[in-house]
Amino acid sequence: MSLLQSLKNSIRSRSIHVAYVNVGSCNGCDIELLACLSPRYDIEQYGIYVHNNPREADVLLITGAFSPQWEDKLKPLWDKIPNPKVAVAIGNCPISGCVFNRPETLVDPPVSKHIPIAAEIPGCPPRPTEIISTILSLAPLIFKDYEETNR
Amino acid sequence: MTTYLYEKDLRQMKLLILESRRHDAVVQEIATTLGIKRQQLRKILIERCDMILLENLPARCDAARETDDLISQSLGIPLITQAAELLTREEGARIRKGVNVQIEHGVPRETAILEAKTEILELIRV
Amino acid sequence: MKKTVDVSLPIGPMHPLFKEPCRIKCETRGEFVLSAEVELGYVKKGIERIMRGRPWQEVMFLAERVCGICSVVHNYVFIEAVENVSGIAPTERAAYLRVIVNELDRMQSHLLANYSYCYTIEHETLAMYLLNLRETVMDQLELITGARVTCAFIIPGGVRCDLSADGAASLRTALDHIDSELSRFVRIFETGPLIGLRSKGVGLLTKEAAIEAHAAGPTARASGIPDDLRNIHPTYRLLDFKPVIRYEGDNYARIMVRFEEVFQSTGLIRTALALMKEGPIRGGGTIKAGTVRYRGEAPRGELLYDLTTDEHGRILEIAIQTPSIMNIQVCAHAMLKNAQSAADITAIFISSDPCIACTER
Repeated sequence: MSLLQSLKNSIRSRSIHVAYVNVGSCNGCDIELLACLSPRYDIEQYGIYVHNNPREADVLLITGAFSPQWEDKLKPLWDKIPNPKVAVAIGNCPISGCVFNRPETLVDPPVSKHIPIAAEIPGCPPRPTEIISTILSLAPLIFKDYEETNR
Repeated sequence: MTTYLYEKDLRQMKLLILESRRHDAVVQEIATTLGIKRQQLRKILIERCDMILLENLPARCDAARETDDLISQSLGIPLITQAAELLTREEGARIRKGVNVQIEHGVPRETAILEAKTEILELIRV
Repeated sequence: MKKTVDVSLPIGPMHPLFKEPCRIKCETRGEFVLSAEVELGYVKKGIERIMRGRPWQEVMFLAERVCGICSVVHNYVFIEAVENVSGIAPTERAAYLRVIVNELDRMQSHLLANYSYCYTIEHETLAMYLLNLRETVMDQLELITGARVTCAFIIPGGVRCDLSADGAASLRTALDHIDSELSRFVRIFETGPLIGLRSKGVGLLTKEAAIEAHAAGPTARASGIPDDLRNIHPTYRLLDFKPVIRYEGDNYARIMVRFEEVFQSTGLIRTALALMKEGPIRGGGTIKAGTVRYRGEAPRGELLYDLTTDEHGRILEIAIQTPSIMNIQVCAHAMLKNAQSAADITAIFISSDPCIACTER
């Protein structure tokens, strides 16, 4: 491993930019995401910075069970995120559709049909601590030695 | 007909809103007052209103219904002007006045109301 | 809607300040906003379609997931509607416990709404203070019900679990903490010159426009409409409830109404704790056939459940009218019209406490 790569690894593990997108959730997971920002959980001490801009993001957090309006919008949004990137599904909805995946429904889960999902956090909704620990354990794994393995 | 440059065609989503129980009741009510089919009124509403106004149609109709003017009621003017915003208030008042003038000139009430309905329909057709 | 100018300013569906996706299309001349319309459909799940023909035990959980922020009140109003059809009355202790949980939910919802507003006008310090205070409320909610969000606490005839003496003591401590902290934050909000510039006189809503669109909740009460359905609720009547009203009708008034309602909620919970006697928390009963149109006061305003049940306890027909529908509509078509600056669009929109998940269901 080159010196440059090890420098990149150590910096990337302390600087994770996050964007979140709601593709048809009930808001429960979104407010648990917002709760992560509060000084009690304080995600910025781990170097996670939430600003909802896909062009600057490393991690895309997805909540919701994929409603029809997103069909032509989620893929372009995913393409806008620069490499290396990773998508995390939060809550039961993007994994299975949860209570909304019934006859007569309008949603089209799972989200992994549309974009690649690297990790899933089940729960309805998951706790803020679970969300933070997933991002923290996942991001270094994905971003480690990115340039050397993808040359 | 509206053409869509980069927006998705929203007519299907708007129809889903109008299919809900309370919305359907309101659409049926206005359609019966005007003497047209429910599908025709749905088409007019979808073309003329944005989605949030469609969602709020039952509540706006509840607020607009509180009028004691019988002729306005039988023409559905408060629902069309105040609630659904298909006509402006001025147009609604003008039509209401026209009916009054006709009745004063000896035209039977039913004929006057029928003529006013045709006028409203011509104004709101897309 | 007819186009009057050829330049329109789209905001959304993904915007750094919105918690949820929606698209506001504004027509502007320079900075001046001529008109605005809102396009939805990004979180449409068809909950009413799924609910049809299902037993109430399933619909209860679906009703809760109409909105994650105010999940308790959806549970509350749905169960009261079903009780109303079947002639079930909750036990006395359960009625007070319901009010306590509902008011805790209202407090966290209002604190979250005010957090969003402060974040939108870039007063991040106050926003973070409020979000941290919300965690105190969430702790109490979790202590009583066992979950932070979607707790399914209220069931026909009663509630799921009792409040212990320890729980009541910790709730009282938390309420004192919230009162003392929040009065400090409200003083910051009232006296901040930046906040005043961005809030006072911005996003005016007249009483006439509010009545026409059937606006509800803090949005209507900030424009001088004294409607609050807690006035006619039997349990709230015992607690000596009076609605909070302001007359300015701008962003500042809407946020202040929410702050005052949080103080009011702590007062209501204290009274309920004092009046509550030991007793059973579950009554029981059978769901019968019938039709009802039941209204309740959600944090955002009037919530309506219009449902038909059959003798097996299935929900045959259901329509939900949430307060956000009215408030977003009046915001888009009355408040945003004639806004002086494009920078105020997001602030005005967030000040009406929009909840897109409620609106679309």
